[in-house]
Amino acid sequence: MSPYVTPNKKLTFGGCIMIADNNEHNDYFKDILGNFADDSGLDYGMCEMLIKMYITEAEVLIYKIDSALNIGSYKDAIRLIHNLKGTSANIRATEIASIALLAEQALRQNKIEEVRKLIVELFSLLEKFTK
Amino acid sequence: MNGIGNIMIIDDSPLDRLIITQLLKKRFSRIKIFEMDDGIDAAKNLIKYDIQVCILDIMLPGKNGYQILKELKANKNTKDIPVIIFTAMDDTASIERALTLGALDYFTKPISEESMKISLPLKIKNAIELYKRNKQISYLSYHDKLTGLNNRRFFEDEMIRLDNENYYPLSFIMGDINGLKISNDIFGHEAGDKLLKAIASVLKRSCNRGNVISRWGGDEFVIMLPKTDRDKVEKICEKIHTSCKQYKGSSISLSISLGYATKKDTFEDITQILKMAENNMYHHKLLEGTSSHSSIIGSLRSTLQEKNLETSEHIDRLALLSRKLGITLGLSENELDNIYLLALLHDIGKIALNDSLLMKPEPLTEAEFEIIKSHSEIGYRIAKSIPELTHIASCILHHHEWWNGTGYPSGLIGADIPKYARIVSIIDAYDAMTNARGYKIAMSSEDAIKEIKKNAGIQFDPQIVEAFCEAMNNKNMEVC
Repeated sequence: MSPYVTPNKKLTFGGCIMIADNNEHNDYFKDILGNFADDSGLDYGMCEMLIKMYITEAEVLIYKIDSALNIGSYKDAIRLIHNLKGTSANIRATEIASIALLAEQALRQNKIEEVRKLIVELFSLLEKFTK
Repeated sequence: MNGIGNIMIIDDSPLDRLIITQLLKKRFSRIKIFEMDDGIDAAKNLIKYDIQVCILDIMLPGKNGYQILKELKANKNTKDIPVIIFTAMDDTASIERALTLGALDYFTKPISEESMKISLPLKIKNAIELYKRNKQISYLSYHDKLTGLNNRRFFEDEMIRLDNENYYPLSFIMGDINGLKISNDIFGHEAGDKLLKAIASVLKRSCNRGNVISRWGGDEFVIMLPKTDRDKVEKICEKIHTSCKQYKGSSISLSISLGYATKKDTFEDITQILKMAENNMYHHKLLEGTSSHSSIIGSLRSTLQEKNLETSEHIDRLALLSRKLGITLGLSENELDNIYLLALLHDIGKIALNDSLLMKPEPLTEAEFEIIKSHSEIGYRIAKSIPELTHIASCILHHHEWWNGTGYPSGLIGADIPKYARIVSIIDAYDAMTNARGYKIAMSSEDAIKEIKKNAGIQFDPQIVEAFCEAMNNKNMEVC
């Protein structure tokens, strides 16, 4: 029996994070962009594109994690959270990376309710890019 | 498919793949990057795309990175491709495991600033270079560098693999090039190499797919033909001989002696079969030996004529004069034959010299003359390498010596110069003076004889000069 019985209402709508095309990003976006560009040595345009892709990919990952938990496939959920953690850290979305780490640890300890809360938090953090 | 470096990234995160791609492309422009989001067909794709380094994530859907790594290292076609692992920074256990399984190196996630800017691209570059060098070394350890054929080591390995009833009848062709030594001696080792390459390409053209063609030794080749019976082998041998005859790339005709043998049953000893093929080859070589040598003399002569160094009239005159002089000197029939041969071939070394130098109308520079002078030594080496000519080799070497010791190459004096050489030098000088050659006008016979007399004791043996004058005066002498 799956211990994760209450689906996260907030996550039932996909593709809701809209990324502005006009390059007028908020400070959250700009901070991460600055860090990523400095660390990677890639140019700003490229970094901006990569971060936009990240936002989309991370959103998909969060939905996938949610679905995996819903059907009780924790092995997949761990791998997906692990990926989210790695990709977030690579792109220098450090807050998300550290929450993903907590979620991964909680899932390994079978603390599903805690994982659920952390996933909601991950989603809000991701929304910060565009709010 | 062959870029400067072909890189495969196996990672289930498209974004991570893209970040790595961008980091590498920023540093290196001439790379080709391939991506996979799982490792299901890793080995197949690594081979298909000629991958030189593989970046592998550990956490993957389906097979994990360790399993993929294990499979790649167990596959003989992929085991040498360097694999660099991506792993979590604090996960020392997985680093140890991956390195134990044969990963060349690792990166940790998140990719640090240093890694992004320096070590990631450079580790990849070094891995590619390492792979290319290893590939080259392994190529050289199984191939003959000159001909590009497999080498003996490879052949011996294959011989063990193919000695299996699935491949019977398993045939062997042994081949030994004719005239390689002569070609090396006359035209230098470059020409010999050309001959070896020509044979290699003839063999490649004549054989079928699946045949193992290798260079066995210096001038020996061996071909292993799985599932090939006697009739088919014979056809291939014929094909090789025909291709050799059609080859028009050098002064010496392309020729190879072949022998074959076939293994039909398990109980037959494969080394004995190979030995049989070799013995058959030697048998053919003996049979073909004489004809191949006389064909070499023939081709040397025709080369001389093709190069316009000697006209057939000149050779005919020399033959006649040398016989006349020989009779006057009281030489035996056998000696007359030798003089004839020497008259024919004393300038054979010139075939190795540059045409433009030999035909140069202007006076030669000192350096050019030194090159021209080398023809007697080259001729000596040619004659030495052909059994029928060995006995006149030293006469060819010394046909430009002077009686007083100022000639070349050795500065021999008087009777130390071989007798035939002393005879032919007079005849050659006389014929050169009395016949127009290039820019030179012909002298009358009387003037030429006068000139030769003048040089008796200086350039020529005085006694032979005397006999020569006598022979020239004796208009009625019967020479045939």
